[in-house]
Amino acid sequence: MLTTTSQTDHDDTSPPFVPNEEWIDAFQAQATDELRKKAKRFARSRARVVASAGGRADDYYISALVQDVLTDTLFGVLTWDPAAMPLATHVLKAIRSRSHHDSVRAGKLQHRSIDAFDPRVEASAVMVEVESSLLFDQYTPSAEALTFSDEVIAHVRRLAANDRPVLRMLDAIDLGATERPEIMQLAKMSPKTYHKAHIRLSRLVERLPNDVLTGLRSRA
Amino acid sequence: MKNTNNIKPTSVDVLDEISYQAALAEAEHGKSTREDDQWSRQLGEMLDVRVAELRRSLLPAAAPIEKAQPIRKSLLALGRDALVARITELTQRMGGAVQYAHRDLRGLSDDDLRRLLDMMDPTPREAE
Repeated sequence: MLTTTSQTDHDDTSPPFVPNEEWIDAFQAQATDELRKKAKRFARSRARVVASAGGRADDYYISALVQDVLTDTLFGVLTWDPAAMPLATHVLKAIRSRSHHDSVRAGKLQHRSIDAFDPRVEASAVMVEVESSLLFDQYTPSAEALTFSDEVIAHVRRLAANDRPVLRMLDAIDLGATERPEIMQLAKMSPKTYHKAHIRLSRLVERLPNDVLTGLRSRA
Repeated sequence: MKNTNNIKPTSVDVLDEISYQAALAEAEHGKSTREDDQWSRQLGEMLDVRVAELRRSLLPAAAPIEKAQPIRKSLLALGRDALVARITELTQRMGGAVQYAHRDLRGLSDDDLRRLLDMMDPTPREAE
């Protein structure tokens, strides 16, 4: 299941978010140029799945994803506890959560006809975004989403071809491994092999051509 | 998607995890473009503005500016030497109870000396 960075539903009546000096110092020290660019590289990679589900995932979307997470943290919409985790971890978690939500939403929209599109429903969908993000753990995927995911995973495996370390990594993830030590243990990998396979997996996902994914989506 | 709970993840979870792992590798080892550099600088400037706002919100509210009272008429008539003599006399009489920043009164104008003496003088204004 996905882990989400906790979000606070700040409405107009909520008191303004006023963090203490230590919080501000921690944010300023950690929200570096390198963190912003790292977050954007992360978001760019995540956007490929959003695009594959039929969502908008251009540079504007990618930039906004990072910017929104950082500004929402500064405005208290996203809760960050500097004592609990580094800002980089918080930002990547939030981007993961939001991009996942966007891909699920894009998948749902793609299965609706244009005539059935109702902007009021879309507006309310945006309004409940915060709440639904918090409900990822309870999210039950549709049969369409499961079929689509199955086919994309099968395609990733085809792209991996005979790359055994990457295939073992995929097997470990399929078994539920999420953390690096867990994946290394299940895939029986040394840190060096893991490191190289991790990079190759990234390049492989990058190669997932949109037209193939779109084709998979239309068949799903 | 922890395997510690022994629940097999759905394919949606697995695809999300594959994408997450790929994104982590991209974040760690990928390269940024020139456009990314420029975007990051601009975003940094925007965040700095918000951080400055947050820091300002921690400052205590500004104390109200108190308007100076008019200088006593009796002091307006005094010349420079008399003003310095009165200030010296008051300083010696009051000992450590009176302190002022100017150690060299030659740098102050006559009006500055009157204002200083007016503030130091413990005599009630109504007495004039």
